[in-house]
Amino acid sequence: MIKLQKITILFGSIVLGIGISILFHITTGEKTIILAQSEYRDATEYKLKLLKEIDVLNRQQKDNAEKLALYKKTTDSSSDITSNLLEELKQNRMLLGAESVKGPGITLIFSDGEQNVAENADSIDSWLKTIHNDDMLKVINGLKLNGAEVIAINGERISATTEIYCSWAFITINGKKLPAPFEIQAIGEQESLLAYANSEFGQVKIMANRGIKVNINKAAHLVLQGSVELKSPQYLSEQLETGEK
Amino acid sequence: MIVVIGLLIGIILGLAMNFSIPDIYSTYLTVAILACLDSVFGALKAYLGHTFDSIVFISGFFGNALIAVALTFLGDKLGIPMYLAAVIVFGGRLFNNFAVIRRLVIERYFRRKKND
Repeated sequence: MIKLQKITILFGSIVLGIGISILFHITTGEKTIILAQSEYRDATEYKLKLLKEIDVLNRQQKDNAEKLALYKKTTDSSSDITSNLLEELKQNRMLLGAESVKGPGITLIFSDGEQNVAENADSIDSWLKTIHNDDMLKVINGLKLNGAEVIAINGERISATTEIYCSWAFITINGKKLPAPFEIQAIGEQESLLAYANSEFGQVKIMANRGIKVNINKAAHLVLQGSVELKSPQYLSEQLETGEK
Repeated sequence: MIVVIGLLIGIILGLAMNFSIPDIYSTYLTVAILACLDSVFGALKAYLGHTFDSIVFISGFFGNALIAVALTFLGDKLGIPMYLAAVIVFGGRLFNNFAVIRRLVIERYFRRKKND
C-alpha cells in the first residue's frame, strides 16, 4: 500500500518536473518558436511587408546605381559646367551693378539752369530750372525703355534696389548724396538711345525747354565702375512649385 | 526525498523531450504547475500524516490544475487577472502544507532519536 502511495507521489512529481522544464524552455527561449494561429498570421503579414520593403529598396538601389553611373560619365564635363556657371555669375553681377562694365552708349549731362538776378528763389521759374529726383526717374525710365542695358548717374549704378531720392540740393542714389551737375551714362543701343534723348516730347527735351542745361554725347567706349553692394536676402525665399504658400 | 527525485527525473525528461509551447500559454502552464506543486506538497503532508489516498491525490493533482487553468482562461476572456486567485490560494496552501510537513518531519526526527 505504502509502495503505491510512493509511486503515485513520484508520478505526480515527475509530471510537475516536466511542467517546470517546459517553463524553462519558455523563459530561456528556444530557437524553435511555436506560434499561435493569430501570431502566425501576424508574422506572415510582417514577413510580406518586409519582402515588399526589400523589393522597393532593391529598386532604389538600382536607380541610384544608374544615377551614379551617369554622374561618373558626366564628371569629365563638370569643369565645363563650372566655367559656365562662373560666366553666368559674372554676367549677373555686371547687370546688377556690382562689376565694372564697358561698351558703347551715350552720356547726358544735366545742370541746373542759371537763375536771373532778380528772380525769387521760391518762384516757379526757379523751380522749373532745377533738376528734381522725379526728372531723373523719368529719364532713367525712358533710357531703359529705349534699350539701355546699364545706367549710372554720377558713377552710381542703377540696380533693382537703387533709390533716387531728393535731398534738398542733392539727389540720393544708392545711399549717396550726389550734387548737380548730373551725368547719366547709359550703355546700350546707341541709335535708339540718342533718338530718345533727342525726341521732341521726351523727358530730356522737356527739361531742356524748362531751362535746364542738357548736353547729349555719343560715346563709343563707356566704362561704368561697379558701385552696388550686393545684399544677402533676409526675408525672401524661393517659392517652391509644390503649392506652398 | 521522493518528491525531489521525482522532480529531478521530470525535469531531465522534460529537457530531453525538448517540448515547447507558445509564449502566450505560459501563464496557464505556470498556474497549472502551481496547482500541481500544491497537490504534491499536500500529498507529502498526507503521506507523513498517514492519511494519504491515491485517488484523492490524483484527482486533486489534475483537478486543481484544470480548475486553475480554466480560471485563468476565464480571467483572460473577462479581462481580469483571475489567475491571481489561483496564485494566492495555492501559494497560501503551499506555505501551510510546508509548515505541517516541517513539523511532522521534526516530530518524527525527535521521536526516532528518543527511541534510539
